[in-house]
Amino acid sequence: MGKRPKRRRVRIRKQSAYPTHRTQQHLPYPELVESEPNDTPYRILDSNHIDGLISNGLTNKQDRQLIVPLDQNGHVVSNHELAHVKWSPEIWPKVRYHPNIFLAVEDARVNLGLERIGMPMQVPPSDRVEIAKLAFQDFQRGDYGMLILRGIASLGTDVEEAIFEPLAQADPIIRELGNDLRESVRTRLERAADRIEKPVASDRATGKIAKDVAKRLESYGLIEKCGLTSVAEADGCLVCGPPGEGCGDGDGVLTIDDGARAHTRRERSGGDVDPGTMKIVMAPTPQRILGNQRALERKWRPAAEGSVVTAVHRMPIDGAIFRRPIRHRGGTILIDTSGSMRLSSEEIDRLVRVAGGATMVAMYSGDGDEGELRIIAKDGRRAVGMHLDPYGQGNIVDLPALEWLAEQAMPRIWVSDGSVSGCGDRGSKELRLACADVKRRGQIERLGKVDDAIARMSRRGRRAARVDRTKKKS
Amino acid sequence: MAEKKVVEPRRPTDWALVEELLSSEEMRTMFLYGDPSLGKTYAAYHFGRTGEEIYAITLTEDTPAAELRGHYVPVEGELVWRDGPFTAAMRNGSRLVINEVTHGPPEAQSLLYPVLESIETARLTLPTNETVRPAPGFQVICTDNLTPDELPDALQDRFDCTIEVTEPHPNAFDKLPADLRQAARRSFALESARRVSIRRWLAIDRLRGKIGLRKACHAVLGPARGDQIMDALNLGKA
Ligand SMILES: Nc1ncnc2c1ncn2[C@@H]1O[C@H](COP(=O)(O)OP(=O)(O)O)[C@@H](O)[C@H]1O
Ligand SMILES: [Mg+2]
Ligand SMILES: [Zn+2]
Repeated sequence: MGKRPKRRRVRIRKQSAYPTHRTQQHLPYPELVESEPNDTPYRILDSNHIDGLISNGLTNKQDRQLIVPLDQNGHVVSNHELAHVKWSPEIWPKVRYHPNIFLAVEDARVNLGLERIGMPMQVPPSDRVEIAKLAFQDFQRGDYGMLILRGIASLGTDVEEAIFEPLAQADPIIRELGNDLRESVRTRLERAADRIEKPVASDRATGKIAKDVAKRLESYGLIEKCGLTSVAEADGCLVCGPPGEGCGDGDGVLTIDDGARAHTRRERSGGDVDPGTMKIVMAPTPQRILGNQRALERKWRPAAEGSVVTAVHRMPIDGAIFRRPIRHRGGTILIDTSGSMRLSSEEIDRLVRVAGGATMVAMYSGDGDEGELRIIAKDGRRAVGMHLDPYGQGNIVDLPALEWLAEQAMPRIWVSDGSVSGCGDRGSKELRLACADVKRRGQIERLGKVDDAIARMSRRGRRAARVDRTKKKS
Repeated sequence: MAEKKVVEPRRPTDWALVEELLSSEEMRTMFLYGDPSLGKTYAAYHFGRTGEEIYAITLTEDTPAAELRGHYVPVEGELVWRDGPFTAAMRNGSRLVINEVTHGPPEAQSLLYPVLESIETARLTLPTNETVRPAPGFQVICTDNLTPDELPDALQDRFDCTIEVTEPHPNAFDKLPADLRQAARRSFALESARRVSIRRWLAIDRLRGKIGLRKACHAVLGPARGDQIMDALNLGKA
């Protein structure tokens, strides 16, 4: 009996949902709160950049995925989600009522737990206003079921009062039901926790409470009845409030499920994947790169220590009779800008900015069966603006791009996660070996991140080797 | 396409084997590689050969080969030859530790060919025309964050053993108090944006006595990340 809620199509705007350099500092550590160690890290996505979310916090322990806002205000949401990781069931169960009910009681359970251990959920003022607004909208729409669930989900937090407030103006029957559920859910959860002397109630006790809440809400006709449904289909943590801005248009999106499936690139055993066709384009380079433009002719500098005597005449002057090689900035940097690299154009911009006069920088990516390698800095000049946007989401042309790099000036740096593909963005062992071979023969160094490349660039020409003699005592 | 990396289970590191090899006289050349802070350099400095002098150098792309081999130094108007660490370690039959070997310039790497040869054939001819052969006991341990694939084939081929380190030595965790140890075990292998190395944990532990744990986390990891770690620690032990 009853229908199942419509499958939610949560859409992840590719790339931007992944942590960027700017948002990385706000990444939570669910792995540290789990009771058992697990070799697979959580995948953490930024709810500020996902379309179609109802809540800005979502935990899926089974898929090991967390969706939270990666900003300063999001910290409280992250803590709430971490509490789910710690205390909620490993696998969201299937229930015969609306899954939002289960999740609301589950939210109450973990929030009361956070309160008990001295880490109560304190919602930043701006978000508190947003959440109160949502509750008021529920009220105006006459969606009292949702309003009460929102209230239950907020038990143990500092938004509880604000959410229940509109209820005071509701029909007395509804008001009483709401207040009754508010009190009974809290006391039952707390008693259940006390009984087992834990911060939170057991899964079983919580499930029972949720079922009772469902019965009451259904009997008042405040929430639609549902057939057997997994709680994973619920709308997310109601207490966390609405997702922030940044929910844009619908192009280039995939559902969370698609994303999870795409998580692991299938390697075809046959290995007959051809690299895509690559065109090389030179972006307009209107801007001069400031900084060290020193002439590159000099390869040696005089030194007072060395093993090759070249300037005996300097002995009486400064004793710098030896010559030492000078290393210049220079060489070629090739950046993989496929979706998996999650590079922002600011990152690319930063790299181009530090590229010295002699450094050539190119970026590549592809779509379908073709790709583009675009030169974005050359001869001390650089491209700007949209010319730093990636061509496509896939790799497709790693092999021809590496072949190109192998012909350019040394040192040759390839900024990439090392994963390569050909036509259709498919990978194969053959292709991987071919790329590894070009990389080896071309003496190409791979760096995983733009920041590594930037560090590599700015290190150049400074630090000399450190020689240290270590005396070891037994 | 969203993320291509297949998460492979981490292979455990046989640290007992590494220690055994480093204590063996038969083991002449070793390439030890893996992520930063796992204890490669520590192992190369401390395992086996206790009480002996160890020569160590960290290569950067600016390290001139002359610095490794040795060079003339003017002393009171005269030029005197000074052995570099390669030459000195060979002469004394000592252990030579080369950190970040793949970061060295090609010239420095070229100098490794004759040094890594077998004990019968290894020799270095100096600008003084002297030829140095390795004294018994000469050993070369290279440590690196990058894989041996970054080296030319012929150089790779010259290592007696090539070992990947994937986790810190258990003794390193034992240096941490119980309340940080589990977190350290679970955070060293996270993706690079969230990785917290054992080195960081040791720093946090050193500082906490004076300024408290939260501030120590802030100081070592920055305020935002420090708070994330701190809250995860608190929730973890609840
Ligand atoms: N076996 C060990 N025993 C004690 N401490 C260790 C051990 N291995 C590593 N450490 C600690 O970890 C730190 C990082 O190790 P290090 O050898 O510098 O890492 P790597 O060379 O792999 O980057 C060291 O400073 C040391 O304090
Ligand atoms: Mg080291
Ligand atoms: Zn929740």
